[in-house]
Amino acid sequence: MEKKNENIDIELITRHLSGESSVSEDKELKRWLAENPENIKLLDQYTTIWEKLGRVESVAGIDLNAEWNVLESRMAESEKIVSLHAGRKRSVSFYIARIAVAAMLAVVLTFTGIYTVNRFGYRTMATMNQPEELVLPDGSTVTLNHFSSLKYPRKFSGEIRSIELDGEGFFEVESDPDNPFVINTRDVDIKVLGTSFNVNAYSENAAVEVIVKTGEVAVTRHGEVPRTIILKPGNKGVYKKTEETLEITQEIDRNYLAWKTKSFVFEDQTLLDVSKQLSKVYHAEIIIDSDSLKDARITTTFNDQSLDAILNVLSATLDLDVRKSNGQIILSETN
Amino acid sequence: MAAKERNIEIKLDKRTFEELFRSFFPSLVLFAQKYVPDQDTAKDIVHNVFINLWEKRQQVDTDSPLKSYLFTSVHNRCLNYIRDQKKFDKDETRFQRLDSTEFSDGVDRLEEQELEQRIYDALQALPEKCREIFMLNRFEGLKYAEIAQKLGISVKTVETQMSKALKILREKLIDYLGMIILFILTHLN
Repeated sequence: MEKKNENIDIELITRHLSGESSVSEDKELKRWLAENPENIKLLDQYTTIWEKLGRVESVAGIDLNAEWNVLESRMAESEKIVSLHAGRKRSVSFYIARIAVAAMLAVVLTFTGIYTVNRFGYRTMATMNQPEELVLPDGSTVTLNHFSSLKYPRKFSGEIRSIELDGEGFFEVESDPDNPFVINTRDVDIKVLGTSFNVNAYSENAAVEVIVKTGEVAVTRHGEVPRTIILKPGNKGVYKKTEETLEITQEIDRNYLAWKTKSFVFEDQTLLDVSKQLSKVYHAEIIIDSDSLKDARITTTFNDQSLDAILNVLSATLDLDVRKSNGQIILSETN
Repeated sequence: MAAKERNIEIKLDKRTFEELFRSFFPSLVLFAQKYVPDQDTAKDIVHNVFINLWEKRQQVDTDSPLKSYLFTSVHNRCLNYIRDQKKFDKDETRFQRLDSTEFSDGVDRLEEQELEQRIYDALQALPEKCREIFMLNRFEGLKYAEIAQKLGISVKTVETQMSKALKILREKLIDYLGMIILFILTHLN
């Protein structure tokens, strides 16, 4: 009888603590408490436990197996590094030399971009205001335009060589038909077998553009109904984000690679067009302060020249005044 | 020289290391969360401490108190993290407050941590179904009826399992209840 009673009490206490109890059940609990001071103590203990459980709530759901797997793969990584040097005694100066090299590398890298390695062995190269060239683990090369980032694994594994791009890059992909090379961007995926092409996929732009120089490239739009187009040399694939259209055009701006080559060909173009292209490539703000000047026509070529050199040429041919103020470059007619 | 190197025995083998990880990871994360703003950062810090320990395992004496080593390392790395963040964060007062409290309650934190470890362990020791039901109610705030529907079981089963969980927790924690109450009292002041 007493045993049975205790069971009822525990269920009642649990209902009370978990907010399941009715008003009449709470009254019953009160009566039970009044019966014996031991009952009060018991309820106190349960209440304390119930409340203290809140302290571990944030970690109660941690998946220990998953966390262990992450750690185990990192242990395997560190094992490889350790085994390279195992059994060899190194002098202190060896380590100092290594630290010095590491420090130098860090400085060199931070000149043009930020390079990070995360715990799963992915590397991310993020460029600042200068393009940066890098070689991927398969030997493919990428030139990243400014303010772009590329995430890639330390080593390609599995069938697909997969990387992630936000921004613009020119890719020269090592041919390997068995292991397609796939560039994932936010809106489209670009699949190639071995070729060279330019991808402009800044997430803030209204469109993604892929221009093929050599070889063949497949561009696939994300979404419920994926669509794929095949691009050949001289083709440009354009994905418009708001319309969600993916189309091929032949209209290629001949200076599309200028951000990488710093070479421009201008043929009867307005100074406004020219200044826009220069702004993009040299990451400068160029302002033309008269309307008639904006329409002035230019035909010329530039080959890997500095912005100042280009401005000098423009100023001499169009009789302009070039002024720099607050980081802006202002072009005006000479008085 | 070579003979001497061969003599180095690996004192911390992988199995012991895994046990160590599994038993302390959650409490270390909980501990780190008191210093750093989010759980992901806390997890990263704890992972790094374990990787560091693994890399140094040949020099580790398993008789030494590894537990206090782990907590001290996590503590130090958290402070480093705060120091590094400070350089970027303009809201310095938040960190100054953290800095001034960390010494005063260092001892309390260890006791607190001990207690949390017991509670966590007791929770993990519950039979799986029982724990799942209990956590849905206690941590996710689901009603008995909602749990019954979610898991496709009767409300009566939920009720039985809930009481069972609480009963087991009390049995496991009864010896620490004194400590818990003491803890509440000291923190009320």
